[in-house]
Amino acid sequence: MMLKLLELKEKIKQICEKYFIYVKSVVKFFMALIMMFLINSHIGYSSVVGSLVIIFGVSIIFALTPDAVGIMLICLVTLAEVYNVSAILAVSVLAVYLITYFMYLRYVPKQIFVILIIPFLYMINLQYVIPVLCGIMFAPVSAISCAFGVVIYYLFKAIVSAAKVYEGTGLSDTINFYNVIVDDMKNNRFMIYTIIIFAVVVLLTYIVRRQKVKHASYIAIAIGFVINLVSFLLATAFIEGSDTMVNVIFGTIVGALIACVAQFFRMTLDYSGIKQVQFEDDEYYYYVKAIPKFSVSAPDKQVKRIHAQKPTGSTTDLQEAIRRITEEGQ
Amino acid sequence: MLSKKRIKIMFQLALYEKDEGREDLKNVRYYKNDYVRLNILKSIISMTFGYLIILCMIAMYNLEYLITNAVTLPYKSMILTAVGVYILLMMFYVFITVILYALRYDASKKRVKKYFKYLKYLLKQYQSDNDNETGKEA
Repeated sequence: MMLKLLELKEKIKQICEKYFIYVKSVVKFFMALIMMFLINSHIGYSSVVGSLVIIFGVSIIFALTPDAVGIMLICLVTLAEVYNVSAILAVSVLAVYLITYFMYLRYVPKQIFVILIIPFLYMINLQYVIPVLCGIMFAPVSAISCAFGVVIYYLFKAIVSAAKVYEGTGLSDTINFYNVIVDDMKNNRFMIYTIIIFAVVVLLTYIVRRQKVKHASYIAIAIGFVINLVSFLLATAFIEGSDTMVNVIFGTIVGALIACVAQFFRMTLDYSGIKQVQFEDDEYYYYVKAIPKFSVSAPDKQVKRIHAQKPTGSTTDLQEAIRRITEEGQ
Repeated sequence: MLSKKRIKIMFQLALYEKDEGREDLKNVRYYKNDYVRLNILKSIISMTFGYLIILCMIAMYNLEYLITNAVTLPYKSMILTAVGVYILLMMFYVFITVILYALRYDASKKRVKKYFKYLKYLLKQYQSDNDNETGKEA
């Protein structure tokens, strides 16, 4: 079973490395499509932004442009949706994005992916996988990224719940609406509890993963998910606004499976696949394309010896047969 | 004459220049102190922007109270608190920036050292080829 999985892993790696550019674009397209549909279903206040043309257009642009452009587009889409509720709210959301950038992402720009993915995982009840994956794949600083991601999710959740009762277009009504959202977030004990638990899980998973023990990563995943499960089950009993027990258990089990699969299929450090560079010297122009070699794990050869069944009371051995005949003759 | 060894080295150098080398070669143009100080300045500016945005959001949250009590507000203590928090935040960010960018500079310098070592080796190879050619012509 393990061998089959390893062969499958090698085959997937081969395909990814051979067609890396196309695989990356297709994966980015579908990720963007899913994100756009999730945004539309949860904060779909604008019919223009929620139209199929915009959804597919943004997904195609996301697939074909550098990651930074795609991420900015997704942020603009969320701002456009919130703008339909209130302009001041859209400015507040933009302010939160700017604070996140100026005070954190400037120093660790790659963590934008962690912050961006958290709200979407919350929407599909897979948020419990994030701190464990961060502990396995990133440095402990990703605990801060988890915190920012959780805050952004709860900001949008507060906007959605306040928008249901929002009335009036005057400035004082808008300020009240803004105050309601800030109060919602200030008094949200479950959000603060989630941030603390995620930070603890990230740190513990990271520490366990770094130990020189066999299967340290899988032990770290198990410990991370046990802490997640116990903490959030306790929260369901004592903290208002927390998730239901069924969601916590289901989310944790599915999250654990995803984390194990992700750890198993974790590619080697070099993700860039085929590399192309060009340079020149005095004599030649060089256009070099380097294709990584991959090792194909050949299936184990199992040699099975099948012995012919000896019939009872007789022998197939010729010499033995002759000996018997001569003995019987005598 | 194409030399496989030389092409391999040139390939690795070109790849480095395309990826990490872009940042590394820009960074090591500065002395370490200058690099860290430049980043401290950038850090202070961006932290100031972030802090001002946070102050604006707090002001908007308390707008009604601020407008109602505009005449009787304790402006001196409010400003002192805001400035005090700003200074503490700035000290924290400067500390983080110094450590982070000093480590990044050291890592860049190590990679650039290796890059120049291979570059020097390549140059020697070309020079020896030129010497051989001029020797043959003579």
